[in-house]
Amino acid sequence: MAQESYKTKLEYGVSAIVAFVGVFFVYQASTIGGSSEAVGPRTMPMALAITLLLGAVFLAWRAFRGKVGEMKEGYGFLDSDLKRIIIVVGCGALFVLTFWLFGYFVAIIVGYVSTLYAFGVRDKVKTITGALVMALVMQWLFMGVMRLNDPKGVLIDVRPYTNLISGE
Amino acid sequence: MVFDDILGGFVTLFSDPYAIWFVFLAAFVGIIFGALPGLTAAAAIAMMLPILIAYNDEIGGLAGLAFLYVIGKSGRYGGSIAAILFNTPGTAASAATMQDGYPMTQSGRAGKALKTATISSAFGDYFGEIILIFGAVSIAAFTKQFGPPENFAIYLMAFFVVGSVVSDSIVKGIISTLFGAAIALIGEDTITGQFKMTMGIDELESGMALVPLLIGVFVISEVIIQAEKAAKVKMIDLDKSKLDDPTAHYFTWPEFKRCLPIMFRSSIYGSLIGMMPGLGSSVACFVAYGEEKRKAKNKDEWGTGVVEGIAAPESANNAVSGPSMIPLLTLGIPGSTIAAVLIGMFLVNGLQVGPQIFATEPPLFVAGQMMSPREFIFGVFAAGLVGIGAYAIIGYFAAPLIGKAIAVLPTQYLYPVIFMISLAASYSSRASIWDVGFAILFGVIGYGMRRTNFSAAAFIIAFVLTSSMEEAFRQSMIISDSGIMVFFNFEYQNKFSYAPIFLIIGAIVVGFRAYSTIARNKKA
Repeated sequence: MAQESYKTKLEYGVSAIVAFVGVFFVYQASTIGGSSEAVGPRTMPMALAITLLLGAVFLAWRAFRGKVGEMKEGYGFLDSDLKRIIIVVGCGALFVLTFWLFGYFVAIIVGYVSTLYAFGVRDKVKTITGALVMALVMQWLFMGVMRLNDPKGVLIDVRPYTNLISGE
Repeated sequence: MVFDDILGGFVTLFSDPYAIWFVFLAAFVGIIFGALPGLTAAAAIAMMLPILIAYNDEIGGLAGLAFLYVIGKSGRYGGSIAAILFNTPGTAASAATMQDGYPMTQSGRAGKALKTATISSAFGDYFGEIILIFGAVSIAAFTKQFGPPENFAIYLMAFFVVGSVVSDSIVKGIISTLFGAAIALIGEDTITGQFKMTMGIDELESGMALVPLLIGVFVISEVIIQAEKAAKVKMIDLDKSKLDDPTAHYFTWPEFKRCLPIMFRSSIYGSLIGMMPGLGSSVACFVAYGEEKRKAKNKDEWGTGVVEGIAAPESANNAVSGPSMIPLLTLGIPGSTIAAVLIGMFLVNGLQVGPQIFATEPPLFVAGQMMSPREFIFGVFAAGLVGIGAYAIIGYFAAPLIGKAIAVLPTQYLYPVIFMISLAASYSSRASIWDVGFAILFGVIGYGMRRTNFSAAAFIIAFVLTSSMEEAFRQSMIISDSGIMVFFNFEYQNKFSYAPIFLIIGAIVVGFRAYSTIARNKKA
């Protein structure tokens, strides 16, 4: 009974998110300019967004009627570890921030160290050694072999040194 | 004619040394990724795709496509290793294999179980590949006459069929496709050149790239789940002594003869299921397991560790692989996530997927040689045939070793490495830091979708299909003199239209799914 109640509540939440996404795309589709054609660029996005909204209404109606079905294993967020999710997403955000501020090489080091921490690794020697090896390999592979654009950081430019690895 | 094409395909493949190497590499990499619980062939492809695209000109188009095609096959097989040894399906396709595979490991017969899985997988895969080669050529000869109204009707049918069958919930499956379609429409309009739904972000003017989306929903969402697990349980629990019983390392000839009819029937189930867009290996393995158990004389022993219980699901889930390409190659509809990604790789090589892929003109310049699209696609088929043999050989001799290696892999180091590679791969798709942000965003969205029964596969398939669907819709409206009725009339421009037939088929499939779901819920 408690599980059914949880699933119903969660389905209301899901329908609200789908409705939000639908409204968002309706608004975005409404900003598309008109066209002289019979069917312009606005038609398909608007049709999809409205159908998304209808889907949200259906999900909410189903939850309202209590027809959400039984709760299967792996459904819902009861077993979720919110703290760890935030930490992992934070590691990704930190990667993006350090990439922008200090460049690719530093971002790999900071990103890898923080992700290891998120996975519970507390061995400092292994963490730092691993991060340096990781950064060297990734710099060589992506910037050297694949010759991707290696932008300089907003705060510092380490490329004069990292170019030695990538062979630029 | 087809036999000549197959021979020609082998000539094309074996005259390209890169392609041969990449077939063997894909066989190995796919097994590893498939065997790692949580990671799939789709995750491997997401991380490798930017590298393959970047190096497409150097390695030749055939090598890149062969790599992606074979990794899908070997990844499906690799999932059985985790299912048998760790009681955790490496991929959803191997979930049914656990039921008899793990009891065999517990009783010291892991080697026999792994070899049964290898032989059954290769049997099913070869069966499916033959269906693909002969089926696709015949169907493509018919579908090449289709015009924009039929194409739109097929896309629409695929949207609703995929959406309704991939998830437990029909509505959520369809919402997943709608969401993928909405994301795909962001960017420049292909006909008018107007920017659509870019939210004022310049980087979105060229649309959302496939790689960050794939990485987000398949890799980063998995990294989040593994980070949660890292705090709670040991991921893999393998008693290595169970692998070391030398008497249990053979799949005997009498056992093979006993399993052969099961493998044959299961391959038929798998092939039929594979042809339906959206229905994949995870469905095929349970259908085959259920049907063969129902027919078996020793049905009471199933689930306690019998080789038949491995032969059935493994033949079926690998037989899906080839036929799942039929909708892609004959109609331009990807039947699976891997097929969806292959569209991008075909386009990089100047090939539009659909029935015209079997044309003998115009010639293409691929891998340093001039060849027709037909020769090229038969080169890919040959790669598939060689790839099956390659993963079977690797798996037959090395599966226990691979299992042991994975069991000792420190996951707390492995997943951070995968996370970093996936972030770097997201950046590499367009050298845009925004794409890294989008990958993280879709990682969180993908995690939420998994937890609430939405379908990541439907989302990706719809994302890939939508621009072609919109184009077909607008072209249809331009040529139509009866407005939207062009999709419902059996004639346009003085020729017969199949569009209403496809719409009726789509409606029947969705209706049947809805009816069976309602009936099941009422029974419950």
